[in-house]
Amino acid sequence: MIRILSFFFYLLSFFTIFPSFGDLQSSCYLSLNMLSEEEYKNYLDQSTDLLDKIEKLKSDYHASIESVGMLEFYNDPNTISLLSNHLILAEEQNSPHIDFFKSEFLFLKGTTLNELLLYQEAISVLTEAIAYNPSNIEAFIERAAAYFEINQLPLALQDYESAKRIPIPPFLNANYFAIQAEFYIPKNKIDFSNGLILGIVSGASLATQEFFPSLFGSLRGLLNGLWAFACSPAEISQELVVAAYALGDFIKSHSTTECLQCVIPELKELSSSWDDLTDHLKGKKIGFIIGKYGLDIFAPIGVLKGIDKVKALRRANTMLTLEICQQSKIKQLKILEESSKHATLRTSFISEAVENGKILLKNSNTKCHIMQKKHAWDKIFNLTGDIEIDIKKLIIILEEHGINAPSNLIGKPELFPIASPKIKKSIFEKKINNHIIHAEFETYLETGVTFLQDAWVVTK
Amino acid sequence: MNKNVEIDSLFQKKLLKEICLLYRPEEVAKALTFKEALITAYLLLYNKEWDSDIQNYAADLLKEIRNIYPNHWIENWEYDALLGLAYYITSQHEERYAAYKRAFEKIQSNPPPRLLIELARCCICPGPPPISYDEGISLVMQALKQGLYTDGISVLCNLYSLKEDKVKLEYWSKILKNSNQNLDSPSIEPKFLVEEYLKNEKQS
Repeated sequence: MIRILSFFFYLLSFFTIFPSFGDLQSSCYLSLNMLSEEEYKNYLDQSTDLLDKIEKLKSDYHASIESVGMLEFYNDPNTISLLSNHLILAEEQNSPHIDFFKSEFLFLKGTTLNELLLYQEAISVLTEAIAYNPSNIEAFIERAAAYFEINQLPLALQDYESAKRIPIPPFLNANYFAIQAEFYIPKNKIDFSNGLILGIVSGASLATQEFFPSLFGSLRGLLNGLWAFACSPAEISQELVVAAYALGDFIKSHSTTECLQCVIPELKELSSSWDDLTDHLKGKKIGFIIGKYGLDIFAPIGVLKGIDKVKALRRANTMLTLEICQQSKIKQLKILEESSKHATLRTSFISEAVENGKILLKNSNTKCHIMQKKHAWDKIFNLTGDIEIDIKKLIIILEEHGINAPSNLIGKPELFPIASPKIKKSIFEKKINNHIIHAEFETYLETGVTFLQDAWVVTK
Repeated sequence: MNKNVEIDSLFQKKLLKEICLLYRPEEVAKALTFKEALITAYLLLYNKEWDSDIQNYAADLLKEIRNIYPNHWIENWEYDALLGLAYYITSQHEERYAAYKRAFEKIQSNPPPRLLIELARCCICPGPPPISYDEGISLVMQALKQGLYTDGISVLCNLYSLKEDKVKLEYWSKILKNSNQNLDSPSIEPKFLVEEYLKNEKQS
């Protein structure tokens, strides 16, 4: 809260530069007289929204600063020029706080770039932010995270140490993000943390076996991986516990997660049952999602909606990882080892499975699809009704009968997309227990990895 | 910034996965123009990771586009064929047949061979097929009159395998083996979408 108040202090100086909202508009108009009439009209239209937000700045600093982040994210020169005008005018007025503003502005930009996983760009912007305000603790931490992601651990630790060395003014002694999340503290923190650890461990173990194509391409995403847990689960930080709880609480109530629920089936269950769960189960379920999918699954919400909870969780994870790395070289190595072990494990799991003729499923959703009633598996074996058990039995049957042997291939594999093929779809059929089994496999042409996409018992 | 502006801005920046994670298909179809929404759906359907969740979203988006822009949609049978393809990729078998059938019914005469083949392929599904294997075979034969397309022969092999007609399966498998493997029936995907996809591929 104190940090927020300090921001208001700066804002107060900001508004002494622009005594009234009308003056603000006229000042901007003067700076915009280079534009044609049409360009100016467009500019004004586009700026209306921003002007409303700047008006809001007087009462709600945080919301407005997120809007600035949004504008930076969209990188629209017409609308962000208004903010730049503020900075230019503040410079003209010789405001003593101009460097602070510039640093905060660049810090926001750097955070956004980090959230978009553009680490090199983030480093360059955050370096600038630090140059404007060498006491910008958050900029150091954010840059440390970016260095960590590009495998520059020494530089990451150097930034983390610098951040820790910066004396925190007495009015900034509380962490802003922690304060944001503090309204959502679990009643029984120990139960929640224990559940969180268990959930993360079991979710992460599943992530090594299943194939989850990253929503953001093939990035290392070290800080999305919660490696500190793997290294030393006992050292779970209070900040992380609070942030994870806050995210769970947010998921429960927020409508913007509806679409995310389509992608993460576990989220739907979590959001509908959150209020009825014990703190231990809450921790376990949210931990499972974080462990299984990584933190980057929440990135779009964090970037676009400015959700504090995602930011708080990400920050807490960064801090925890760096803190543990900093404690000793051994722990540092352990974390790096854990992260590379995880990656190797997944690679070897897939390649071993391919070598041994094992059938791989793409993800959990494939199981539900294949085990639908109309796929008629009850004609082949006795179903238990438990999808996990039944799919395992089915895979064993398909493997034992060598369903995907070349001799069972029917016709010619199809290629998708036709214009520039990435996937090969092959159809295999074999008679098992007097029934024709139809199985469709998809092969990623780039990697050669094949997954079972669909299968059923043919019923005429 | 309102929802429509946000979606449009994300579309302009081609941040389509973010669109799919943050907005419902209905919202996206409403916020974008007919063509833009189609481009979004097409690029998501052929997403780089071949992620099935994103593909399901793309199929839902196409369905919404059809609901929201019925007049544009009805203008070209290729849109229904595209919806059929989306349902094929996402293994929604009943919906696939319905979409291909609509495309077929919109064409007055000379249906393109690919559409005939895709319609016949609908027999390959769990549960009772929407058309009989013989009807499927007849559709493929009609397509093969226009050229000895390997995708058509391949479907024919599938249908004879399902019919357990070993003689014909062997016969057509031999023809497939000896045929020009590159001679597939011409694509029926809307050209502007294919161009957009290739442009996007180049950029990325």
